[in-house]
Amino acid sequence: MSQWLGFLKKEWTESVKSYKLLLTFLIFSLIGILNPFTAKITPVVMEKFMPEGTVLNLPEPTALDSWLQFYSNFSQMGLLIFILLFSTMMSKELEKGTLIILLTKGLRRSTVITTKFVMGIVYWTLAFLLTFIITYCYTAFYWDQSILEHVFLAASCVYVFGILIFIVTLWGNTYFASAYGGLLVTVGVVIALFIIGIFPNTETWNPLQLLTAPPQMLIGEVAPKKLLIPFLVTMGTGIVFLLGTLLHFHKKRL
Amino acid sequence: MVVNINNVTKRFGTKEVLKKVNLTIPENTVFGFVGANGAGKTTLMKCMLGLLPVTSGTITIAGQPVTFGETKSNAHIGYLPDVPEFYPFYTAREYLQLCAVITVMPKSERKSRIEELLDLVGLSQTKSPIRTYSRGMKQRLGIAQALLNRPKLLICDEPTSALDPVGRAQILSILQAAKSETTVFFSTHILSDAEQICDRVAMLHEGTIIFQDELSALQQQVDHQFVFTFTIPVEQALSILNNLAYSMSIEGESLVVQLSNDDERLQFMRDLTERGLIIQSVNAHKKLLEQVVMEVLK
Repeated sequence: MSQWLGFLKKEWTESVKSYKLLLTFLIFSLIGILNPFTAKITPVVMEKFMPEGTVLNLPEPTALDSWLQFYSNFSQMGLLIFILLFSTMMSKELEKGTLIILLTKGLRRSTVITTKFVMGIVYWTLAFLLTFIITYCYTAFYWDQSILEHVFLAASCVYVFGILIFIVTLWGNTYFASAYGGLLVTVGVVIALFIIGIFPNTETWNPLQLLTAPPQMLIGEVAPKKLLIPFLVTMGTGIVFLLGTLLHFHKKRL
Repeated sequence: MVVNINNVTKRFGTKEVLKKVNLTIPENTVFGFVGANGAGKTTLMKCMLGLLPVTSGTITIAGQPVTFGETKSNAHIGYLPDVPEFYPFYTAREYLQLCAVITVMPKSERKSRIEELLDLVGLSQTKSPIRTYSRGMKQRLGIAQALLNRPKLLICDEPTSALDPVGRAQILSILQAAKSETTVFFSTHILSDAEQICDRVAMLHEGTIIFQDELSALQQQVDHQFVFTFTIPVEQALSILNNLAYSMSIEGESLVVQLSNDDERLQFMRDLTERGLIIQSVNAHKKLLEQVVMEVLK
């Protein structure tokens, strides 16, 4: 087994032993179930909680309501939980000093970053697929989804945005060598993207579009090609942050 | 020489932690690196491992120059940090297997080498995860991982400082046994530890090497002096011998006498017999490393 695969196996073992795999399965399966379930029961719940005699003319829920729940729950709560779960990937090792012995045994510094990156992506992909597949199947069971456009493409936009946020967290976590450092950087970047979004015409390239535009893409109000530049900017920014993490860690004093 | 440190200076901001340090370590020796806490011992070790950049100067390990951030020269090194930290979910055997993969050890060698080292450090019967280990067990596992790839140089940073007497004795005996296959460079502020197992000693004081030599050479700084104890109190013995022309002084419960040649020694024994002084013990006077260090620091 090569050094890279050996360290990747350690990352995997660590994530399993620290219950990250179990938590990911449970949390993201639950989110997947919640999306159509919430859409289905919301009118019933609202009727129950309204004062007696009140007449509510709520439209019957559709597949769109289920996917709107997906973009609310997965893009916000799901992404936040994922970042919290993986926000100490580097800082824990740097604070405790567990990497020192392995680095002095010849472990390449780039191997540390790239294996942690790959493991994060594996878990994000697992989280995304779990939520997406459960939401898709459950929604198909209740409603007709043919009224929606670009279901897969719209969901993949959130997936790509999540990758960027994870890389930013990894960079902050490595740079500041503390869990709070990584989280603060991530929160800072997200706030910056929202502030940028206030200015006119920035929606043509702002990565935040990958998070906010998919619901409109589902009803055909946003064409997929309009998200091409935000997609490229997101990928480019992700690569820059990943290279920045590699370069910084290469010269980090341990 | 397995290690050559030439004019190494290390600054943290304006604070100069190492000042033009020169140090050479011969192969297959146990080299003690002594100095008070904060003298700069760990900083020099981290520079040797490429974990910290030097401000100026060069370090070579087994002929390979050390470059900050690179790991090529670490192929020759085994390192035991002062507080070794491991992945708590692994057992000792699993952790050594990970280390074997990292050091790119041939698969055919791994199992036998790991068992050999677990036997050496007394952890072969331990099946529990590292999270349950005592400080001493972690230190022993630390030595096992450091010796795994048969390094030319074993660097240990204060390996005994936080251990109880039994743990200390175990570690010192393992380090001494390791000398047969590697060079041991270990830092300590416990001078008696250095005295027990070292062939050579260097002392770092305020960032400067103030001496480096063979331990035996340092201990033999007191030539032609002998330490006597008698069946009567030393003060009483001195008063009986006071009119003799020897250089004599009291150290603790002993009488230290300067006897420069064989004739003087024979004559002194006759003088003792004539005065009815019965010897309890006699030894060549050797200074403890601690005394040498204290004198140098004065």
